[in-house]
Amino acid sequence: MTALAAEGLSKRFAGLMAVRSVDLAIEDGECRAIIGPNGAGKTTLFHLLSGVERPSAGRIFLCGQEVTRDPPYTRAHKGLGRTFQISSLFGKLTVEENVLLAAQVKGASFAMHRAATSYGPVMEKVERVLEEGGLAHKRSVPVRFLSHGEQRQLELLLALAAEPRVLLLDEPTAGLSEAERKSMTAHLARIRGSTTIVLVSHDVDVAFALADRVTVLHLGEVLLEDTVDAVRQDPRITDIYLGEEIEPQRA
Amino acid sequence: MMGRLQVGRAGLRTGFLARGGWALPLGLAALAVGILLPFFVQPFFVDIMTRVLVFAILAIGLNLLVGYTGLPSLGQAAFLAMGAYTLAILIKRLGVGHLPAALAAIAAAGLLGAVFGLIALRARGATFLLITLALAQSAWAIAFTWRSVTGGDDGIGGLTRPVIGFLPWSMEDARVYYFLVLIVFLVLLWAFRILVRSPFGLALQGIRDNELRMRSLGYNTWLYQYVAFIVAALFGGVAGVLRAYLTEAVTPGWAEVTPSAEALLMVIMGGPGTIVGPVIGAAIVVPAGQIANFFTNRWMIVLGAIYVVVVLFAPGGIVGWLRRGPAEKRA
Repeated sequence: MTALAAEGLSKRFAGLMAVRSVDLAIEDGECRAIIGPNGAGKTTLFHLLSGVERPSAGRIFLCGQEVTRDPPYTRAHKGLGRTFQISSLFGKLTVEENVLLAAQVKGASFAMHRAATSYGPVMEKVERVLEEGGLAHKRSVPVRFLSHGEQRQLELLLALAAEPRVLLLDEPTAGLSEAERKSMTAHLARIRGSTTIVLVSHDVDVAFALADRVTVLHLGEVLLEDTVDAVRQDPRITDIYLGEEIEPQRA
Repeated sequence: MMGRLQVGRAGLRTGFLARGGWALPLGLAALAVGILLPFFVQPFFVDIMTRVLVFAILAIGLNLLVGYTGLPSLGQAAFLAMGAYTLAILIKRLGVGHLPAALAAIAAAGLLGAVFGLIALRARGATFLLITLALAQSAWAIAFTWRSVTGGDDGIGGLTRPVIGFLPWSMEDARVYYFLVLIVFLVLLWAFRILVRSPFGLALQGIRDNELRMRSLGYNTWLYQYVAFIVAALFGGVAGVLRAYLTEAVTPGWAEVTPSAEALLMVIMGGPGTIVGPVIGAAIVVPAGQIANFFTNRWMIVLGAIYVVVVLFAPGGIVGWLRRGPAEKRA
């Protein structure tokens, strides 16, 4: 079954065609990496898939249902979760309250008559997510006091706490130290398979390590879609993205 | 001396209020003063205390918008006026009983909030502020010009306080009325405390901090803001009913920008996003306004100056300042 699909998806900003006739079909349980150089249209494609931006043309399907005109919160209720390239958290609230906001959304989010922390199943979910994400010991700390790495981890936990069927990850390892990057990759590897993942990353090592298939975007268009090994060996990738400039930086 | 480091809902607290359980003793002390003081002062001062509580209710409602949802409004007085006018019209013009009139007045304020919210929530930030100001001015214009219903610039007078049969005391007594208002105030403060700690209240705080992320998590943020707007209007309606009974009259000036600005200052001065902040703000701004009236008719300038000082030196309000550690205060 196709978990997430796009047909002829395009987005024009004034004179710039940021995304041009993109077709995607991501299977249930698949981990799909979307790679491409700066300006390839990766983040715009994410905004279109998550509903932050409306497409100029094309259609989007989530688990067989068309969601092209649905706002982000409706897509989230239908099972779409996402993270942001720059951590998008609730700075004045604690780590626990951040996760609670995500965990309560499908339950009692409109209840006004009792404390948010009094809902047993929701708090169990919060506890589980914090434990699995390694942030249980920081539960009472306001988010603005977390390190960048911890904020990136919490960014992921928020998305996971909402229990999405399809998870869009926008540069999850951006700005992380080597140790944090490894830890994040290991965490993503653990959830891989239980959730359909669409991963945008400049970090091709992480993308290739996790993905089942890779879609390469270039100038807003799909240049190539194939397995990791096939993409790795395609000479066009070297030309546009994995050229000589990349390797020395990794070394 | 630095206070014990405490990590809690409101952040890493090292200030006076965070040194361990001061909130309850302070609250009980304030309540004791609130209960005992009326027996030692003249009725004129009891009326001022009642006025403090009425405006505290108005400011608590506004705090839901400003402090918890991040929607600064300059139109809160419109709901107070709506509640007061509806009460006065129903009782004086239509002969409705006090209880149904009061309930209808609060509902009318909520209804006005439902209408205003549809318009104001098309914008955010400064534009939202200006729209609420414009809507409140429209309410004032209607109250001022629709003389056959509202009494025009004369307003509606001659309202009398209800007689509660099973009570041996008359509501016309300033102290008795004060204690009625105190009970209503305490019930609403308690309800507000439950509300802001509920899933709904937490969602409002999430919207205040990061609306885009809330939408991505699955929250229809507009709907939450809209409900918050109506709840704030209901608080305004209650304040309007209580104020109308306090002064036994209502005038168009109640819908003007001044009481709205006063309510906003109460929230900002006391501590936006805190439960008791607006109460502290009301306890300062209302008496300050009374005192200022003895010396100047330029209260708005004084109000503006206080606002600037608070924003510059205590952006978290008095409660926020007390919660900060000494090092933060010096910074």
